[in-house]
Amino acid sequence: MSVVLWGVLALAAGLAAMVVVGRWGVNRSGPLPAGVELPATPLQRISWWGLGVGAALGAAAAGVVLVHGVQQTYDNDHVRMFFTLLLLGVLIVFAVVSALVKSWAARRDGKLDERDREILGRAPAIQSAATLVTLAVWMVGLIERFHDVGMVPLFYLYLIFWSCVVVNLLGLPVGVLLGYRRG
Amino acid sequence: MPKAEIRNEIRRLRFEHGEMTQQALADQVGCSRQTIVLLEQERYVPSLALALAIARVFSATVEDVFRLED
Repeated sequence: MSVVLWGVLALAAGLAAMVVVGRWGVNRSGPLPAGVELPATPLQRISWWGLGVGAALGAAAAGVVLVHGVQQTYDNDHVRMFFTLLLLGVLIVFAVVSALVKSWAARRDGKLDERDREILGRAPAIQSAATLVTLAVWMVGLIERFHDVGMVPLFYLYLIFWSCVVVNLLGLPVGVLLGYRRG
Repeated sequence: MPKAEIRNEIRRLRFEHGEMTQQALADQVGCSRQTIVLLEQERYVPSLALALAIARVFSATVEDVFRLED
């Protein structure tokens, strides 16, 4: 299997790990009765927004690698710059979202209530599991691909780092959104 | 200690207090409407602070609003 596909698989496995870990403690008390609506909280809305924009930028970066190939992405300055800018965009989105949530937490005006804080506190548990799975898939993929050569090209460090960053950052809103499913 | 359920009278008390909306109660106690919905559905057990705040809105004691059911 090509290493690019291993990279995509690593990202997908990391995201799947988030969902599995997040669903581990999901409340099994069943759906709400008919006619009872659960309005979204501000934390839920901003998590959806952050996840959507972050995932779109991360997917665009993965698309750049898929279109140009790993070697070309690393060797061509323009492609590498575009790839890096997309991923820096993910970092900026999460920096903005984190700053906003921290300001809500500091104000204590009800924008984040005790349940939101509890969910926010539990959410990071997903990040470490997802990052570990991502690293494991990279390790298996790179060993399978480069076992005969006995060495791994340098630019894979670049991809491993960024895939872990993206999975780690996306893990937080995924953890928050799954936390709300517990009821 | 055996597992106990926390029941509450929030929905009844809201209607007895001028048909107070969930949002109005949420604003008064400093939580989201989602939390009030889940409390009324008895799917969320509030902290002591939130329970006291809700009881205060209804000018009642915590025991008037919440009860332990074995």
